[in-house]
Amino acid sequence: MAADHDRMEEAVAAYALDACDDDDERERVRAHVAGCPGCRALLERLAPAVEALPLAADEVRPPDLLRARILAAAAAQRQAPAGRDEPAPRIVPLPVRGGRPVAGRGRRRAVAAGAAAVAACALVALAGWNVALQRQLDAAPARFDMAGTGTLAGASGTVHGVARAGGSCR
Amino acid sequence: MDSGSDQELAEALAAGDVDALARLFDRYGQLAYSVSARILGDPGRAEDVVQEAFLKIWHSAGRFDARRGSLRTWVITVVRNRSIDQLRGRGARERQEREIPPDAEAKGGGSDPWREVAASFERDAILQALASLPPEQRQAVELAYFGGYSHREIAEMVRVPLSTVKGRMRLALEKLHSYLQGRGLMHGG
Repeated sequence: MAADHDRMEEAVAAYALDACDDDDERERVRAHVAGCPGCRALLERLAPAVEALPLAADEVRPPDLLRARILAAAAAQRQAPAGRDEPAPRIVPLPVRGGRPVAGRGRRRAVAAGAAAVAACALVALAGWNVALQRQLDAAPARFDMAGTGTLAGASGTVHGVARAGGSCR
Repeated sequence: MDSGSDQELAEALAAGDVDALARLFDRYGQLAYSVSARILGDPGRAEDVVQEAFLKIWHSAGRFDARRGSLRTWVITVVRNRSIDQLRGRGARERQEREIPPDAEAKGGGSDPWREVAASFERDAILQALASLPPEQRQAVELAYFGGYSHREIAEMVRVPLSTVKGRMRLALEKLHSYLQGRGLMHGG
């Protein structure tokens, strides 16, 4: 246990410098530091010194165009929604023939197949609607028994059939 | 530039504000480029790396949390990692694992210790601090930070035991910390 701690403590500086051997070691040290107050305090002392190291690089002014290129690329890309990374959409250029982009054979087949599928769905829907309508028309005629009120009190009658031209009431 | 400013800037980036990206570059672009140029020894490649890094941050800004670290640390971490990947021929997988916004708690800090100090003062201080280190300790730190070498690789390169390299790293960072704290450039600890 003590030996493990000593090994981990020895590796804290490398961890702060991102100089661990591999991801496994990095994770072991991270996990140890999270649970060891002494090593955590050590890391808290060492890490800020590492954060200062970039300043040791000679100052070199970036080319003027670099800023412009970065901003142009960012403006051209769709910003991913907050909290998620999405790759920028890939734009695949169409082959050009005679100065105009031309869809390939495969693309034409795909478009035709899609149109045929849409047409087939429409036909099925129309046929189904037709069947439903026909069933309504073929349904047993309605029958309404009527009884008079007011001045027609005592009178009664029956209405047969769907109201349509030529329908009767008796 | 305090954490409120960092968080506001990150939120503006996440909202797609290109002016915010311009401000980010104006703040940290030269430092980022300098670090990359130092690591790669090639200004042309450094340009590409810095461009990739800033666009990566542009796309990931929604994940930034100022309570966990500073924008400066994040920018420099991304630039450094990509520069070292280029230098050492590492693949994208490693890069992705190490470029999430830094968890300052995991790395031992909750704020940017440099935020209130003028840049030129900081630079002089760190250069003097490094110059004050014994050569072997300075070498261990520079090989790790600017060369991207692991402690085991450094031990093999300089032909000393691994524990010696680990000790040199710790002593170097402890001395840097003491020096900078003594100059009033570092909080507590």
